[in-house]
Amino acid sequence: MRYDTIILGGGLSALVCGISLQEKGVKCLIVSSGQSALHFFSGSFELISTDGSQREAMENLPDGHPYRKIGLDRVMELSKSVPEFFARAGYALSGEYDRNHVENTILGSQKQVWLTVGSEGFPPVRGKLPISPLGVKMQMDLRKRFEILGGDYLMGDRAVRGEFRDGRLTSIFTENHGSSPFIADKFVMATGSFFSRGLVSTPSGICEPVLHLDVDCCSDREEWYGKGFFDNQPYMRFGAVCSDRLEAVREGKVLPNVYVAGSLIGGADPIKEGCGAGVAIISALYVARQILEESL
Amino acid sequence: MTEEYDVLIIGGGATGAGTARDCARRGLRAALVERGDFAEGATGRNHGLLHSGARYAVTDQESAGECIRENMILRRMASHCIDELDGLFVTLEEDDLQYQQRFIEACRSAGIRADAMDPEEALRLEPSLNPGIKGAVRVPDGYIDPFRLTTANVMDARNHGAVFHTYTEVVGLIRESDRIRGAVVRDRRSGEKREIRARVTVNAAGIWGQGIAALAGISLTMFPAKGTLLVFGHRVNNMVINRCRKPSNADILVPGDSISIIGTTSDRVPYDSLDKVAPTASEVDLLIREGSRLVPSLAETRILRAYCGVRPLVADDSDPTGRSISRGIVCLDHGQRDGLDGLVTITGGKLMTYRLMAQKATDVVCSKLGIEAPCTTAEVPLPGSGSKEGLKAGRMSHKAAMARLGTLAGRIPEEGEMLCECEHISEGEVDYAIRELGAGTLSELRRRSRIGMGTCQGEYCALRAALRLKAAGKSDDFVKKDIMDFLDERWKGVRPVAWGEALREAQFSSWLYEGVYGLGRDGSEKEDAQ
Repeated sequence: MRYDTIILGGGLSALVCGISLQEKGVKCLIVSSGQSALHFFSGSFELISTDGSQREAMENLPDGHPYRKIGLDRVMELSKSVPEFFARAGYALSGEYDRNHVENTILGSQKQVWLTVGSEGFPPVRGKLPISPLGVKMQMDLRKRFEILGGDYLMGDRAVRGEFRDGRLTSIFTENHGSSPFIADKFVMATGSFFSRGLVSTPSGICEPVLHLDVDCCSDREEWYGKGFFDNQPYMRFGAVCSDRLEAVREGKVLPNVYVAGSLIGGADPIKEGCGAGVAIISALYVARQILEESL
Repeated sequence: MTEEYDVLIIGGGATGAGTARDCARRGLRAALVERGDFAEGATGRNHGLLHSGARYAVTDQESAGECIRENMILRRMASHCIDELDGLFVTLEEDDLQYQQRFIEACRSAGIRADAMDPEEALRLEPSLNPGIKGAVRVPDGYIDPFRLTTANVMDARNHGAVFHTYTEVVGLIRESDRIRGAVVRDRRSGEKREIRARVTVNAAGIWGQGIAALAGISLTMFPAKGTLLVFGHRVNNMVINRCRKPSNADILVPGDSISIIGTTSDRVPYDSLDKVAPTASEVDLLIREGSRLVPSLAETRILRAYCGVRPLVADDSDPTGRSISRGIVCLDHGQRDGLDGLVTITGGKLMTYRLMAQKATDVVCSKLGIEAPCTTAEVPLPGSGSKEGLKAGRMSHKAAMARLGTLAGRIPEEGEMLCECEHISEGEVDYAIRELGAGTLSELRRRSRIGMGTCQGEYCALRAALRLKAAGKSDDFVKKDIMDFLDERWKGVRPVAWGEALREAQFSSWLYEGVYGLGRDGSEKEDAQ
């Protein structure tokens, strides 16, 4: 089967990218294993953790951080379009795109957050797994919007390998579809970090298991971790190597038709920097914009 | 005000708790001090193997005999702490099958049932085994839960009037001419010091016993030997699996509750590093490599955590060079040995022989105090280990509670939500541990109820259990700090094995507790990160 763009991964980043493209008539396929970090959504998105200026906080981010690759002006500009984007999907977010506000957590701690969907994202802790009904609903609503716009959402399947020709990815193969390829001009890798299995670790190393993209990580396992649970955990920043345009890199060479979006991009610590949702959404919007510009 | 007792016991491991129980049952007014929580040292840091003694049969008949006698006693009086699994000693392709005959003869002469079986039969009994085994011997090994065992001893001692002080460290011994008259202790939470006076003091501090002896100016040389073990994510085997050769590294795999444990390594560590020992990457690699020789699926099984304990090996007094290690139980009457009366050290030994050690120490205490009451701990079951007749369980969580608490399961309500899915622990059981077993932190709850010991390692249940502590009156700030301490403690064990699924779960835990619930050490660390 043939698409304009195939997106691997079905979480927040994949859906934001897919919807943005379908809104402009780019025919997309999303291949989702069914897992999404959205299922554990707190109710608020974070762009960057700060009680001051977001832009200034971003200037202190390390080189190689996804925001710095995208460009801080562009991050703020894309950020401005986010409330509008979710409004079109039926979600009125509270908060302002360029200023954090404070939300209380279930344990009574306060958190600086960016845009809030609802403050009851995470009530159930007794007797059930900590799944967020709000996050599950949002995932379903975004998927519905993507499909209404004409996108195909392949649920419960997983890409297992790709085929390359002349330095470009030409097609991917999935677990359920065996030897039938899915062909596209452009591909977006939004398969997530370790939790979503976008990255896989073994005692001897870390890899991106689908396309074997180059991964940025320390080789010595002892250096992956912080001593205490709440210390910096270097593994949090591990991820796929990519260009400033978020093109993936394989065997040292840029793959010009494969983009990386969301937490698979290395260089960010979503927890310590409070940038998980921000990187997911902003990188997806940036990748979608480039795909649109190229297909004009 | 000074407290005064007949006997003061130092150390809240199985031996200390067992000694407190024995003393209390013989009518002594007993007090016990423990610098941390019960079973926090070597007691809770081993396989939980109910040894048949077979492991020692070839090299040490005396220890083997002690083990099998205590094994049979514990089956009766600690039945709710024990899983009667039986064990196999298997001969691998690279091992000498001739050793098996010697092994069987040694077992039998020590009184240990040992039945040889052919590989097919062994594989039918225990399908997880390496299919290339050349032979197997079945022995009466089993599983014993050291936390449950210690708790039950504490409970029975308390029922007989003994007094327990945890988080209470001995900082000095009270010496009056050539007698020890108790100890100066410090409450580690408040920092307050006080005296606890006693007619006899028992040093049951395990590997820390050298330090206690030193406070009395007595030389007692311990050889700390660190042993590392790995916990696998599910119950891989259903019988204890040993290797039929001279005892070595990573040759015992014990199934306990919902998990399996492989161990152990053995490395001497300096005495001053006791509180800093941690599992290393090379120990982890060795355990997986050797363990998967016994059970090949271990190479692919998720590892939950690594942990280590320090064996309390003690120098043999009969060797003037001080370099030999005593075999078996060491009970020292310092009045006879050092001319310093009122102090007894009980050490050496194993979890398996804790009751016998307690009996020996109590015998010495009683003879000093002129008490003739006999020891009853080999006959009277521990609380929870009585007859289960008439006990019924409906819900799954209550069945699990019955397996853990034995006859005491009737004390917890049948209804109530499930708090830990991994181990089937209900809200009622957690509340019971808080109310009746004195659990005031998540780590104490873990040792009293197994919360956080299963597959999720506390990822889901830590918050829920913390909310029960809150319901029992703990403040918000206490609960937040307690969750952080608990996660830090769990991380220590996960870190050496954090790859694959373990790293996935660790990332999720960070995301949940730090990202969603907003916990964190303090602002400065967050600043550093940015």
